[in-house]
Amino acid sequence: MRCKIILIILSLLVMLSGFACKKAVWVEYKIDRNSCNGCGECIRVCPNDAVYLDSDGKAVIDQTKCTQCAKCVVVCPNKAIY
Amino acid sequence: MYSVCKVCSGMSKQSYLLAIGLVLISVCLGAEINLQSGFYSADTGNETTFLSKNRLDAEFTISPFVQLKIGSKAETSDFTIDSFPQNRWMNNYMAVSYGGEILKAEAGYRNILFGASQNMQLYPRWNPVTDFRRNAQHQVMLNLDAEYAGFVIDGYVATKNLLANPIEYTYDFVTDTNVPNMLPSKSHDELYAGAGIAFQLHPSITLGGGYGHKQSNFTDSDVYSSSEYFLYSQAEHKLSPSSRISGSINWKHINGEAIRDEARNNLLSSIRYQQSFGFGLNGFVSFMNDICSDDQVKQVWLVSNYIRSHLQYHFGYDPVGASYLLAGAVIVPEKESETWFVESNMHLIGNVYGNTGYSYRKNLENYYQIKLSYFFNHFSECYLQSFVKDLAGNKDLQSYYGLGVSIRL
Ligand code: SF4
Ligand code: SF4
Repeated sequence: MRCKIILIILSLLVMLSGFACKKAVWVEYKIDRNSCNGCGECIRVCPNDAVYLDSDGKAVIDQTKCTQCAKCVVVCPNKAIY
Repeated sequence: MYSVCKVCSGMSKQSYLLAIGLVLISVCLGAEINLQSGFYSADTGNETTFLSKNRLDAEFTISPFVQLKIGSKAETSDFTIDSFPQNRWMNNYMAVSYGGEILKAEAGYRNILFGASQNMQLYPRWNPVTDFRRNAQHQVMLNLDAEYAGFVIDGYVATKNLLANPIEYTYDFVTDTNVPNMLPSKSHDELYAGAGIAFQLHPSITLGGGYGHKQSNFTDSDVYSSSEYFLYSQAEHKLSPSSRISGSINWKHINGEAIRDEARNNLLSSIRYQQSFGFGLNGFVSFMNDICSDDQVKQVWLVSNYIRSHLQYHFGYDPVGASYLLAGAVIVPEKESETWFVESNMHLIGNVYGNTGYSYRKNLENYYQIKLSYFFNHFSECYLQSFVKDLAGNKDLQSYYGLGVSIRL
């Protein structure tokens, strides 16, 4: 029951925050870990050495080096970069 | 025109030796091995060329607690990707893991060899007179997890080393040109370290937090170093025997010279709902929301919403359950990104399967694929395959036709 309530509150929070905030004027790319299979295609094309595979073999974008060129988005076979 | 020799000559001898070495180690250890190899003729519009894709995955159980994993992936082609070609590429991985009741540990090494050395775009901002061309990336990782009385404590250390060839340009007043000078290889190092703790509040609720730090020597300054604190909670609940809902909230505070002020506090929330409708039909929908703010929380910014949904139908007529129809979509409204895809895998006759797929990515590409496989057993196949990419803004199609084999030993 406790879990159900937490999940309902979480859903409401997510929905609210999804629509209540001002859209960012810049772009940031992230990776959906559930959909990444660690194939490394994004590392191959990233011109800034901004992607690495973490200890779970999932790709992570290093925001300090990413210049938002979106090359990784195009090559990801699992459409995991957003 | 192309020739196989031309392709083979592209990959360095060391890379081949490494791949052969890994196969031999795996065979000698009696590991469970998966080998894949495919050769394609690639028509990229301007030229016909060759693409070879090879992959090895091996897992060996040394004792009930200790496992060895080996992976190697190599691609060779004369086809170049966009303006940053990496037409020869190799990714190798080796790890030893220990999984005891209380303690889990993994030590691994990964390298990525970039066969085509290209300029990195990162540097001009900092060093306008030098180009850096990347050659290889080496990564060494160590992870530890300890579980006790409902708590999980984890720690990691990883080093990443990028070897690049610098080319310095000096201006020659006599000829009025920039003269390139090749400098000795330079090593760019990064050290990642962190620790976290998680507590299981309830069998389906976890709370956790931790700290991570990255030290980088990329530009002989601290510009790419960063540190972060994070807190998270995850929950999962079985609503009925056929449906499940899960969600998480992750808050992260990042500090670093290269991180913009507005993005120092990041909140990533996700919800995923899974449903099995019966009769072989199941699917999920997941929603992620990414917002951020500065330190004073003067303004909260919406970075992106991400919606992903899959629906899959398994055909009952196939005794091994490998025939299915899958349709899905990924939508990110803030980036005006839309992807729709459909894929089918059908048992045709005897041991023959047919696979077809199509995906549409708004403003990026249309992708078509067809594959005909003959299975020797449940896990080994030989196949004929073709895939076509219709890239937006590019009048020429990229077409690949090939054959391959995938074997489990
Ligand atoms: S957006 Fe560009 S710079 Fe950033 S990770 Fe992807 S490929 Fe690299
Ligand atoms: S290309 Fe996509 S699936 Fe492959 S490692 Fe990168 S994010 Fe993961």
